[in-house]
Amino acid sequence: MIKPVNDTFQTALVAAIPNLRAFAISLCGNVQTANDLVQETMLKAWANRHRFEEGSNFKAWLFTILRNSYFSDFRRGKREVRDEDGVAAASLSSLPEQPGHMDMIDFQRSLAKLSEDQKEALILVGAEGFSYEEAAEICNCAVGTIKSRVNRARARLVELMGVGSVEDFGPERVARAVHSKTS
Amino acid sequence: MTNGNKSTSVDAAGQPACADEADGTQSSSIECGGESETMTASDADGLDDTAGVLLDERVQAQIGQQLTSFYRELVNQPIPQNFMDLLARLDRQEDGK
Repeated sequence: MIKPVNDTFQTALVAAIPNLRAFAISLCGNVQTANDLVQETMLKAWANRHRFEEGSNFKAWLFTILRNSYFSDFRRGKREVRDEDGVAAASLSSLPEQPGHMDMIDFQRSLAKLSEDQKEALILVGAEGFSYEEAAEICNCAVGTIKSRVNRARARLVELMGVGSVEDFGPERVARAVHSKTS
Repeated sequence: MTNGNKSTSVDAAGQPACADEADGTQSSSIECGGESETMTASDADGLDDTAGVLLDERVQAQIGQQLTSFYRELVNQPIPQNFMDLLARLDRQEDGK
């Protein structure tokens, strides 16, 4: 009788899996951990499906479950997750070789060096396309905090990746330019 | 000479405010977030500002593009089979009730 509701829920859940995985891999920098995280998210979402408010943002709801699971797991197993360079290339190594592949690995390596807060904010807003308000709700913090984390994440990436002739201007100068433009 | 000294000191004063952002610490996030006035003030001082902004736009565009293509690659990866198995199992559990 409640089957149609569950079918809808399941369809929406399946549709969200690729994005949940992409977010999880970005956060963990490791495919295996990310897959576990997404499966845990699916189980929790399914178990709590009656608590989802019809008409609210389903994807944001799922992302909230995932990031909360990540941060509780992360705190538990902090030591193993922090191997930044070791895990950096793992999630992309299964992709077929193609032009730009090395750039991607470099990029992921730089991404892994961002603080968890900055990485999360940057991915949600810059890659996943959530609004600052939605991201703030997902991360349970103020909108201004998300904005400043995104700005600092971008500035830090500029430093880490040493793009262009950043050296000529000095990283601080560039970082400040980034700040004043985006804030 | 005195003018040069002035802008140098502004720069030096502006840097420490954001220098600790490299550490990505929680506490600095609030400080740096509220620091935009100071930064605008020091930017208004001129120096190589135009070059800085141009560089900023180019670099930001490049990073934005890399972020997008990195993420798109991840989204486009096939869903592992065990995800679908998990869903089928949940569905069966529901039916069994």
